Amino acid sequence: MALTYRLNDPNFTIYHRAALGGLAATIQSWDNNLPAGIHQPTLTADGVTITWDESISAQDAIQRILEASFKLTEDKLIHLPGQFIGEDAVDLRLAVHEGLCLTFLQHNKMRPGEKGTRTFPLKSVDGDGCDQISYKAVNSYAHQKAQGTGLLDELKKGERGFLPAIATIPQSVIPGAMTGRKSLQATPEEAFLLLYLMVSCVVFLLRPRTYRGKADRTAKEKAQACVVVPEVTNLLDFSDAIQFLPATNAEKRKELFSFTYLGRVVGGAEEAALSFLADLEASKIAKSSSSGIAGCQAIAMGKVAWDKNQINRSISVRLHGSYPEIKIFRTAKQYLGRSKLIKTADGRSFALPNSPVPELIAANLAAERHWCAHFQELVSEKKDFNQMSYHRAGLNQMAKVIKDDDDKAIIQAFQQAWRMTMGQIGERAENNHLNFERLMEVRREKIRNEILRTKTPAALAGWFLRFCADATKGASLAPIREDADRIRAFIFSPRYFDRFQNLLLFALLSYVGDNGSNTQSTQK
Amino acid sequence: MIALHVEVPYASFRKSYARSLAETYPFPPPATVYGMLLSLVGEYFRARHAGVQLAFAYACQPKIATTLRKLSRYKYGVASKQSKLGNAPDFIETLCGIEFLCWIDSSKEEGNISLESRVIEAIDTPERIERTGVVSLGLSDDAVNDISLIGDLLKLNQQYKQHNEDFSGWHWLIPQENGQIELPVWVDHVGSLHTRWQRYQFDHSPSMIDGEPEASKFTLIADPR
Repeated sequence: MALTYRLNDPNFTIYHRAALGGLAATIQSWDNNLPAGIHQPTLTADGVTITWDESISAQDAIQRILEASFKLTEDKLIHLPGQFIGEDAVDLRLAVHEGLCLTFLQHNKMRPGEKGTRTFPLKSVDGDGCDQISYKAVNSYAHQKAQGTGLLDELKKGERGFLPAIATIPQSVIPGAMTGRKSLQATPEEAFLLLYLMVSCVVFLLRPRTYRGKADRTAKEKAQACVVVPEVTNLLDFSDAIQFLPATNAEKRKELFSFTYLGRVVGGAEEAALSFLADLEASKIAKSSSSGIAGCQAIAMGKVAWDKNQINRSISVRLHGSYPEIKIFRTAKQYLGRSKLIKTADGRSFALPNSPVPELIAANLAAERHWCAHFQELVSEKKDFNQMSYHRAGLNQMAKVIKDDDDKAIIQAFQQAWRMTMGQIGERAENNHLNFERLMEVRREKIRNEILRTKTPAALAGWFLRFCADATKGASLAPIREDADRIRAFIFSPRYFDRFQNLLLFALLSYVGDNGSNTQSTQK
Repeated sequence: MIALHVEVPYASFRKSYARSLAETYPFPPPATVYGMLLSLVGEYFRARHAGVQLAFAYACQPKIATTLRKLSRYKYGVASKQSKLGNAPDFIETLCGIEFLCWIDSSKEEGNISLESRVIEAIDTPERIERTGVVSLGLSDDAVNDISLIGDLLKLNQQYKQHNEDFSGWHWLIPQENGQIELPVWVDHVGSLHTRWQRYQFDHSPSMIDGEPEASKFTLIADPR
């Protein structure tokens, strides 16, 4: 008896290919500890074959394979050997457990467990004390017994051993595949394969900035979790990459974006997908081989107004590995993207993204918009603007990796003018014995308002030129002089109005003086 | 072999496993185009022209819009609940601006009358065809704007160039073993057991087509049952 799968089977969707990646990774995790009666599987770059003794029935073989593939830890956390999460990475396992319980296994019947919640002590980032993270322990879950697929059901009363002619695909196997008039059907081999989709998918916990709780009536999005489905192109490379990333030591894992508990808490589905792709890229560089995937599909799931019973899919977006300005996202993620834990009233902790900027940039890149699009929405309120100014150093690092020449020219010109303006403010403060910090804060707030209030391209171009002229007291500004044609074409073009406005606000916030602070001594 | 020009302003082709958030395939699936052709010629028996081969070239990649609309779902299985809760809104993706060329090759069909000849008849003498409703691509509200036989491809290219200066040619949708676009070539509307997919690659570099497509660009429509 045998199960044979080929990655390039024309009848395979992205879910089948990802599931085959999950099966390949699980087989690698067994090493020589094969389930009893199962022969050493054949694993190649584009196929998997599993055979077993003729003495055991197909149902028994599947039961044994599932037992070896879908486990629980002593703490009743979901343990998927194919994800290679080491014992020292309990925090990551906790994030995976939470994510799976919100997506694949969202229904209680799919993961019966304890009534109350358990708490897990998560070490603080600064190593000082612990934060208590709560989770729901489970006694078993659907994949352990192929629940809902019919694979292990008795064909007739008392008759076991044979696989059914037709199996079914429940939502616990593919998120979004809800039962309608009739269940989604598949061959038993296909249904068995799709159980491994959960192994290859990377789950994230979402905290979109648009969602501020039930009290906020303006909340638009209530996405809670995200499933990133990889587009697997090479089974060996993919399972190697999946093995390599979580198996690195704790210190190295902290450098990755998505292999710690806090790394799995992100703002949006696109950010989740790009974080995972960036980590795979890192593994590719470290191993000097391919990561075995050609992009991924990110599916966000959350509460919708019309269905109070379950978590529905609300966004599905396809992402490929390379984008022209992907470095800006990576830098934003590196300097601004680490999530933080906040304490709740009952002493427990809750993780939140540190900044909404990586979420915004990822969403822009995925939608093929300009990387800075909608930046003004992040700073349209004074308190948000002030909050953002604490991330100045990170924003400055982002400005350094911008590739686009127009963007660079505008940012440089504005920052040069701002530097000179601060010099004038410094002079005034010194002459009149005023507080330089206060004067600068007022001026910066005034600039923010002026930029946000301009409604036409001509008005914005006029404001920018006047700002530069005021800074130089009529003389020409070096960056404008050097790139005059480019800047002229950009600032007077109506199609770039939004981009210009966003870039100016970004330039204002990302300015760091020569000594690393915004309040450099530019008075002289 | 004949070639058709098809233009559809918008249409939605729900993915096979998408029962919440109706994602669309990025191109009209060959199974749906075949269904549209059957509707055009007034054929109700789906397997009548199994064996026909179709090839596709697009003017551009259709854009996807997401809207919130009412979606009828048989979810609860209880009539009283169904009427109250079955029709709920959901996010629906819609393809916009679908313009493509479709070649029909009936050389592998087994029936007496080929789909090619029936399509020619339906376009040249529609009064002879017995059919109902408007021709649509997929759902009945996704009506077809234009479906016409192409006599001279060069002339069509010139017309496109006149209407749109940016037009630089057609993009092939090529069946490819490791392509990243999967489209159904036969759909099982009841349980999905008999749904069959084919993988494709979208050729991003356009070319001016002036002849018949190669055999490798054709998709065979076969009944798996």
